[in-house]
Amino acid sequence: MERYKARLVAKGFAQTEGIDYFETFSPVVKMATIQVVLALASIHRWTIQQLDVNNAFLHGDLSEDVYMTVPPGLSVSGTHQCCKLHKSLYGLKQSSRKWYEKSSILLLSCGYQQAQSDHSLVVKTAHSSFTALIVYVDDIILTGNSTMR
Amino acid sequence: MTHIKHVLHSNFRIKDLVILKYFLGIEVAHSEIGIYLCQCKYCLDLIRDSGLSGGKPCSTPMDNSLRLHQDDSELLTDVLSYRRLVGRLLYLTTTRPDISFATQQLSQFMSKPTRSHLAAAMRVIKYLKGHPGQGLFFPRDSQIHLTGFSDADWGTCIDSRRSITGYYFFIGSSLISWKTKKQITVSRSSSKAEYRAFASTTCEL
Repeated sequence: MERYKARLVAKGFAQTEGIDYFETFSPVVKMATIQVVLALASIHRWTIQQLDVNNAFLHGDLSEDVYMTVPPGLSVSGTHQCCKLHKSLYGLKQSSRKWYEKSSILLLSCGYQQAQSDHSLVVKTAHSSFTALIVYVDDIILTGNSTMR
Repeated sequence: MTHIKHVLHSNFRIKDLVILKYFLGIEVAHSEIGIYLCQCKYCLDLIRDSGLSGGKPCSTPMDNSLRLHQDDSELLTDVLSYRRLVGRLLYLTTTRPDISFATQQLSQFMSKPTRSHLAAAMRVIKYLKGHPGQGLFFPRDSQIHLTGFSDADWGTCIDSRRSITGYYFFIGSSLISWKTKKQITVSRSSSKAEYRAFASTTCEL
């Protein structure tokens, strides 16, 4: 046993649409997109890297008012208390969408553009350098013609 | 590239796995001549879980005279495991276009699978046993032309007399997209079926 891993998970099944969640859809990448990018990367001899985002869903910002019972093990003064969530938790219905929003806003602010055919593919061209990212929830494939470090 | 990694890391804390090796259950191998994708581990797990590890491999995924239909043989009691098996085969088609047709045939009977459908599914697994590591190869030495192929049969589905479309797309000599799908209408001539196949191929493009 190397280490123990635990995660606080919200009870998403207790949520009500229109009150504490609205949109839940989030896109995932199409297989054909991955294959096109890999085929092109092979021909152009681009380097292909893989990145993994730690605890992706915890990064999402909540715009809805979501309340949660105080998790066990946390002592609070007085009874009838609850937690108001500012950030997404695993288990919430909107978690994946909030993560997608957060990551795509960040990539767009860096000058990346979403592909028309697949929104999970973002590309950036500057001068002669070209970079492409494929985002599958918290796994990212990064490729391009710029040399590494 | 290094810049975007810094941006992502400062915002989210990322784990940098360097070169792409394993993504969504797909193994990626790089070499001087190209990139190779396969789902060898996934395929071997599938063979093991179906309990056919000891059996003999088959050279084809399906008997070519077999026309699967909603037949009268005994209904399966364990419908869930049939559905799970076909679902896994469907995921395996992401690097195995060779089983695309067989899987399309099997997936038509998800609601009422019978003994004969299960036998056909087992045949596909025996075929996979022959070459579990087979996959897609993207050569480095290739043109960047987009090429598409499409084909259709004519009313071979016994239950509905609808036709089946198949298409393939290549960039140079790398296969990038394909599909086998039953058409949604009945075609009264083979050329009509071909035209329909052509139309849905163009949609994908």
